[in-house]
Amino acid sequence: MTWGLRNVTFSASPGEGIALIGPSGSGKTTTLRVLAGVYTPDEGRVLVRGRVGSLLSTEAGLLSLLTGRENALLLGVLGGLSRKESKRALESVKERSGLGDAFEYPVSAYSQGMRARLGFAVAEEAEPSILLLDEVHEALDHEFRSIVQERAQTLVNAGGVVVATGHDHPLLELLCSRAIYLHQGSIRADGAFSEVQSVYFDHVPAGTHT
Amino acid sequence: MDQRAEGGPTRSRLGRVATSMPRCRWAVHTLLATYIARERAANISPIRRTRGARAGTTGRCRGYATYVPGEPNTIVEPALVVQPRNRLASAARGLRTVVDLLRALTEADLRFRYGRGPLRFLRWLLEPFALVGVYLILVTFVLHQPGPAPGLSLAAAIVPFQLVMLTVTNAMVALDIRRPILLNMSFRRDLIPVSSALTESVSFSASFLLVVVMMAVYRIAPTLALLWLPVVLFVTLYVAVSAAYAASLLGIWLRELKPFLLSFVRMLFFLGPGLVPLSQTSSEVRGLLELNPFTGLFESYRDIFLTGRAPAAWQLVYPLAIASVLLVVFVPLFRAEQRQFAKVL
Repeated sequence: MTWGLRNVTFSASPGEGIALIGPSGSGKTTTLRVLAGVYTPDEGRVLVRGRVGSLLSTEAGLLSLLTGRENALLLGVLGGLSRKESKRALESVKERSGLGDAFEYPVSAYSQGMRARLGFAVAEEAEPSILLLDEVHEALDHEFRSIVQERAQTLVNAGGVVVATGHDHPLLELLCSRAIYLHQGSIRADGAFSEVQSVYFDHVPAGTHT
Repeated sequence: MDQRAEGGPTRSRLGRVATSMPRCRWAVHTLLATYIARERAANISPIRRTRGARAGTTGRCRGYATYVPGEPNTIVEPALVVQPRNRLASAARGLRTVVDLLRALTEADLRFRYGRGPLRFLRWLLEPFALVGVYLILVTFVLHQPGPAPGLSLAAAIVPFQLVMLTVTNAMVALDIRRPILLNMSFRRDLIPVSSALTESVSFSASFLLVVVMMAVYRIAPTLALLWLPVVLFVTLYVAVSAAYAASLLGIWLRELKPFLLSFVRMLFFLGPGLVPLSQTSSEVRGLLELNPFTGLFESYRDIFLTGRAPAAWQLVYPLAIASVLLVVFVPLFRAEQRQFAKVL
């Protein structure tokens, strides 16, 4: 049997930003999905204390045939808000996403960046104390990327936790002070971002990393 | 992940007291209430409480702020907050959450089903006629079927069958349609089949117009037997929900065989008293036809709309029993399998 993750053990303290780095297929997304409760681990356990907000795919959890508003309402309720709370939050989501009139359009007409904007605004609306970002922020334009960065930093400063993956290491370093290097589903290194990054770069062929 | 703030010895002491001495639960609760009152009075919000973890929440709580006597400006997060358990309030909150989730899932599903254009109401109204109207016209006006009001008799069978059939069709793709959500977040996935049945119930409600039209065509007036309709509707919905759980799982397990599964359900209409009432079938096959759970439903609707009789007990109890068996088998299976959904979708 091939395991997606094996012997992965780590904990996150309040106010910590953790980057999961590693080559494609190393288990970064699987780890985030396990943390989000999307996958139930076959062995081991995950203890999550706090509300989780997640953006784990380029689709950002959005249903294409629904409008931005309809998606925001649905995802708000699925994310743990009551219907009333979710409805009340719609205008705020619209404003935060910066989508303007496109908020009323079906998501099938959105670009990847617009989806990520909406997905992030919805995830944020549920006031998560743990934010999981899977490469989604890499689809964002510069303006919204800095907004994401600022809000993630605010969350970390307020005692929340951000766990992010991606291949844009300079961006990850801005969000996370700690990194975990995953390789073939196991942890190879865990520590300060720059140290773990250099371990990672030592393992990948020269000239292939950013 | 432990997101407790560094609380120092005061928090630890409070946490120990709360966990080791059950009688202190009320005291801790009072302290919380006092803090929250003070916080509000002072109009400060030094700690943002997460939604879903506010005063009155039972069980494990997070994000609370605790007021420590003698240290008015000290705010710490307790390791554990134990509160008096109010089972009734907790159950009501749980029910409200389920209702909200079902409503959100069903509304989204209805958007898929009917779109959002100005003609969606017309589509809702006409769809049942488009699906089965031609058969009714055939039976009512073209063929000379024996028995009273053959068109109404057929409509009485088609209406409940369409609910189950459409629910099964919907449930088979329900997980695929929601793939982006299933891959992105965790939520009560076991409500998805119920949502499929509720979505099709909206369509089902329009199909009653068929019955009304047929009653008008045959000049059959409603009787007091109509009072049984809510009971029969409940049984129909119960059967639909149970079929939805089975269909959702089979739609994942046997993707390639979906058309055959649908054909099997469709076959049950013809292997029951769908086209003609049970009374007009031969006595040799009647016993076999009664094994079909749809038989009781079809006959119940005929009793209510056509003959004006109360449905016989077996007509309702038997489908209920079959549906219960399906639920007992497939709901635990669904809950066990849902951990794999994100991997197979």
